[in-house]
Amino acid sequence: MAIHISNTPKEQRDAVLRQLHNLYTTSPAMSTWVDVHLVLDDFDRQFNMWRNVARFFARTEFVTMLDVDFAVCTDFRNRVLRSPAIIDKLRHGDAALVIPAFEFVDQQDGQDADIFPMTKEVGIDSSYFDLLTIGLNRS
Amino acid sequence: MELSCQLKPDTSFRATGNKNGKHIEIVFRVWGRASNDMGNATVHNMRGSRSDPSWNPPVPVQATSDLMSSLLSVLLRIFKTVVLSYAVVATVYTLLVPLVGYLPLNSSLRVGVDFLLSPSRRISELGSGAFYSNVGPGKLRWAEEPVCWRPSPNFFFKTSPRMPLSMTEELFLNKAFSQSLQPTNIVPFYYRSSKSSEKQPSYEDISIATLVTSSRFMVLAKLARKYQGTRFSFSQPMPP
Repeated sequence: MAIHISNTPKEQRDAVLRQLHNLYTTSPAMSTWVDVHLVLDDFDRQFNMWRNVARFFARTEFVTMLDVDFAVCTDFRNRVLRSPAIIDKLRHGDAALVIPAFEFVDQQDGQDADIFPMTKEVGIDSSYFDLLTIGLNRS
Repeated sequence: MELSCQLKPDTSFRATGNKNGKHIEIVFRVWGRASNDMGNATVHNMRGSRSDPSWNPPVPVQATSDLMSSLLSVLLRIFKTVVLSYAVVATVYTLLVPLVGYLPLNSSLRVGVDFLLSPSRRISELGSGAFYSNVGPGKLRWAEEPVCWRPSPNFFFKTSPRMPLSMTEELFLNKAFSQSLQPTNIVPFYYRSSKSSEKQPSYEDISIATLVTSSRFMVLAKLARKYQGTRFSFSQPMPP
């Protein structure tokens, strides 16, 4: 994960770094699983550069680009790793996978990630969510 | 050495002998007009003759100057060898620079040698096949830590070279992100996860790369708790 922190003002930078330190040291999941790379400069909105930093220093063969607000509901990681058809495409080096994302029709339904539906059928049949990438309007 | 003998004028004789293991050869020529004259010796050696009649052969001095000249020729040979090897090294270096793009220099050379001596000493992985190679704690300034990396296969090397190249972290990051707006400071592995550092570099797995603002730090912690690399469990069985 790459974190961009603006260099100036210094007080704000130090406050964010303290916040990050608290987060990393108090959350066991963070300190166990997450690498943090810092980007310190005065340029905002260098999204591609920040993504490239995270991608460049990733220690695994494959990288998923994910918005932090997405809830990972399915085990796509094992699904990909255990499917010879998919993993062979990735190994070949010229394929990228697009993982479909869904959003709730009613924003209020999406408060608790622990009770999110795990299959498309359950979600769409009960009119819980739509394909985010299509933006289907069901109402 | 003194020599006293009577000889006819304008005749010569040769004396040979060994002195201190060196072979010495002296040609004497009788210098005179009357048959009764006592011959004065003129010494010839390999380097020419002296025609001064009163000159006596300084044999020991001759031996010393032989020693001097042989020493000089040895020095000359050493000098020639040095110049020749410099020319060879310079030619090879000049040829290699466009092939590999970068050659280890200064402290980096030390790192390269260090790596060759102990290839298992990969201190910490950097991702993308690069890794830090520590030469010792506390010796290096900020951003001067050496980074080793293997160049991609290119026109000359169909496969990646076995020996990684090494340079300072600062140079490495400047090259890797040269297209970004400058100046920028990148601190790779500001925090390093405890779990994934046990694994081999570039192992076949999937990481999540994400961007986060400081206001969404708690969401990030939640995502980390949910995904957890290998320990991601579900209540429902997944379709095959």
